[in-house]
Amino acid sequence: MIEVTGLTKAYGELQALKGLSLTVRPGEVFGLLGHNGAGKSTFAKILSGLVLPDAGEARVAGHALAQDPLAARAAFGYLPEESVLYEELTAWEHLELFAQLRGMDLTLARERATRLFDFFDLGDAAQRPVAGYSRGMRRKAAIALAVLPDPPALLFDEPTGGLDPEGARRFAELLAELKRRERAVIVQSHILGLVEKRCDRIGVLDHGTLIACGTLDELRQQAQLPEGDLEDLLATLTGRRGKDAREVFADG
Amino acid sequence: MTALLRLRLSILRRRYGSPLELVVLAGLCWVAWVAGSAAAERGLPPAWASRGLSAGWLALAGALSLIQRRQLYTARELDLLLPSGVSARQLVALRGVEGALLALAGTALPVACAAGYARAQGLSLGPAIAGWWLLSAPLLAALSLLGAWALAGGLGARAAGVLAAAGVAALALLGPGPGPALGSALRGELLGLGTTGGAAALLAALALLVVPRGAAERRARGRRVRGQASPLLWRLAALPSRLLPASVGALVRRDLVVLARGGFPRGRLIACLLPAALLLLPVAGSDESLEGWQLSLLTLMFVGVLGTAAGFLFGVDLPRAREGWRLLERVQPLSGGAVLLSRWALAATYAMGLTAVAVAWVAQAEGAPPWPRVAAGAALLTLATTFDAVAFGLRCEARGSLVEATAYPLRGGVVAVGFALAAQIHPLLVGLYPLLGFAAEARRSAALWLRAECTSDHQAAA
Repeated sequence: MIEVTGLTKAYGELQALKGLSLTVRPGEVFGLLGHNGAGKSTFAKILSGLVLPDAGEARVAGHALAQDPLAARAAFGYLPEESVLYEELTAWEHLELFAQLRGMDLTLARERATRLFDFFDLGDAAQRPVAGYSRGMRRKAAIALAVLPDPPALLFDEPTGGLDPEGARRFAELLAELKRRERAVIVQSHILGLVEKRCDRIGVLDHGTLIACGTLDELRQQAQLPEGDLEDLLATLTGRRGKDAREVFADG
Repeated sequence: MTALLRLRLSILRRRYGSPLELVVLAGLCWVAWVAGSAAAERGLPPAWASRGLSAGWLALAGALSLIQRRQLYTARELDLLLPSGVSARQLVALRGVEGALLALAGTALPVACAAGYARAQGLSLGPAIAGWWLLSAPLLAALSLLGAWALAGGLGARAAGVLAAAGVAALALLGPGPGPALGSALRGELLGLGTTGGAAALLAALALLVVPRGAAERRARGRRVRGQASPLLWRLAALPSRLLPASVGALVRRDLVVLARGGFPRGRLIACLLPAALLLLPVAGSDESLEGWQLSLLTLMFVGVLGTAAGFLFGVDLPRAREGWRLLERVQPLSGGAVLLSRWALAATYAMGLTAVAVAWVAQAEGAPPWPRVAAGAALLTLATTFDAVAFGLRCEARGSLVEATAYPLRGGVVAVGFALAAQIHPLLVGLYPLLGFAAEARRSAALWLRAECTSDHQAAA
């Protein structure tokens, strides 16, 4: 379970989050949408303990981040927007390292890591230093790192960035398995198809405020677009319509 | 080209021009100056000094060639620069300017060493040494561009190593090269400077002519998929970390492997150079009028300063250089105490090696006090000074205060000298360290680290 109440964060004059409240239950995949600068990354960083909120409370699997940060981090798997990995280590070494940091049984961790690498077709690449990886391979390794300890709550920030179609499909399958295993999952993505198909509920964040939250049908009702797809809903709910690209070259 | 150069220089200034880098460079220059003075005082003949300088200079050219190979053929920014219309020749010119700046920083050490030597020999320093410094930098840059071109053209690392070693040996044995050029400049002969400047101009022109050739093929060759990493290193690094708690051991293992595979090259260089400071200990202790207690105090002072330097290296400089990757450990259920212990374990183990050498020296020195007493004091002092630097680094990291970290050498000097004096009175007096508020300060730093914001630009790491 992920619960946040009245989460507020400002960077100087910029109000990144304004009293965000949200609950994601076990077995639920929650999609969080929003334009660039809406506050999604700040929300992710607060949940992972990288940034402190100015006000409000966040709890992961019952552990308050402010009072018990270590237990909250142990219960949380986080995939950051950029696949930050040690360039000199192999994917296999990363998984062993983080298994040790999380106090996992190493035999279990190695078995799971083997299955994860097979699942993502990393194969022999897992024995090579990350410095030689493509962006997609880095993403797969970073996803494997996030799910390795099988935590009760996870947040994936732009999970399919750099993944090929097969990799994206495998990730969608992984989401379904996490749901089946009663994990509370938040997916932040601009790939609306993934969110539309795989998320039980969807929240729309705009200027730090959750302006809409519910199932796809509930969002349609809220936006008064009974047949609208997620792209239309997002544009309507945030009040941002597309611009005419011809205006860019209007000078001739 | 001017805009490109300005952009690159601003990037380099932001990446390498922090006060911390300047402090490290100034500290190393000071050690080089002292080493040069000591060499002169011990009667090293000028001919050998200049050969040593030439050999060091050539070794620097080798290191720069490896850097330039990456910058010319495999750096990620090439994906941005080359499609923007930067030609192969412009890229070479750009790397040449960058290389000259790097060479200026690199040659500061041999220049400081030569200046220390010359001053002790009674030679005036004046503009000759500055002129040599300024002229040898473009010479090094041009040479390293040509070296990078040769390396990327298929010259194997082993062959390159043999060639470089042969070059170093030739300069050391035969005597020509930059060392004699500097020597003649110091004697007021302009020919040395003229030769250096002429060689720089000639090699720069040659580099601009030759290095752009076959750049595309060399880039393609440089981007071959890397081979598998040897698992042996990873397994070996697990052995020392087994003595530590699991999470602390895992962090130590990570740092050992990252360092061994080339992460934090400046740190590796400093870690390799620092033991050379021990050569100054017999020089300083060669005064026959020194009594036993003075030899003991001298050793403890050395140990204290080296412990501070090791703590600074592993507790301040390494974490700062790898700031972009901090997110990786911050999202794990890791306490600040575990991070502090892992850094301390590395710094203290490394410094203990230096301490052992220093104690071995004092043990055989004539008129020295019983070595077990010095050894006990030195070991405790090493633990205290490394711990102090690491705890201070953790606090600065949690506060995001680079300026504060830069000031550590001042505090570290006071701690090192203060506790060396305490150890001289009685080794167990160093045990007062945790009782004087330092342990409580470290606990606060660890707690602060756990809740500190990690807003560093982790994209730089990707």
